[in-house]
Amino acid sequence: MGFLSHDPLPVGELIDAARRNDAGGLAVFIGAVRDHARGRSVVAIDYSAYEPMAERVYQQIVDEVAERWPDVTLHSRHRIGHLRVGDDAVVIVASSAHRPECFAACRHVIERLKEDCPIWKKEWDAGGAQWISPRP
Amino acid sequence: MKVRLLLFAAVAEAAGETELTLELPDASTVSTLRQALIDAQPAVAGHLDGARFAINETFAAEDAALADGDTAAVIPPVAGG
Repeated sequence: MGFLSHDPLPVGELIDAARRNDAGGLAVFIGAVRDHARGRSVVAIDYSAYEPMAERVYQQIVDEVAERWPDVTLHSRHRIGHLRVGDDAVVIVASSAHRPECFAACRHVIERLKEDCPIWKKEWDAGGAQWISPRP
Repeated sequence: MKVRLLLFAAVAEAAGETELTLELPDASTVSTLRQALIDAQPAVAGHLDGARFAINETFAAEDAALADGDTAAVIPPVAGG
């Protein structure tokens, strides 16, 4: 199963996949579609990606986590397509023997995705849609 | 040399297409490609601020060399998560 999904994200399955009897800590980050941005109301977001490159960048991030926190088990998925307010756009689950490593790995994955993973969003409000550029 | 260039998000929308094939001189780099894109599709010029380029699915610097048959891509500022 790839990192990108065109279907709703299976949060419970991802959590169960990361469970280990020797992992006492399990951290979950969910990025969901918010109803506002930059002072405007948001009703939906279209996510699109350069899919093969996004998969490749995600694998690089997985490798970074394996190198920095070898004890961490990681399961993550990002959704592509038309999402409405409240829908989950990204789910990251990390488990480890103790909590510092899983929290750190979870944070690392979302920050690195936001830097380098070729995924874009077009936000819809009542009046229409616009592409979002976080670093204008 | 011939290079396939993929366009995404606001850049694709401005161009009205998601890919084009560009004929470039030998020893072309990402900078050459950027200019060739603007020449072929002037409408994208205003959408390249902050955009990076990739060659064969890997980010490439402005002076990175292109080869015949490469697939390049314009990567506007990403916004996942």
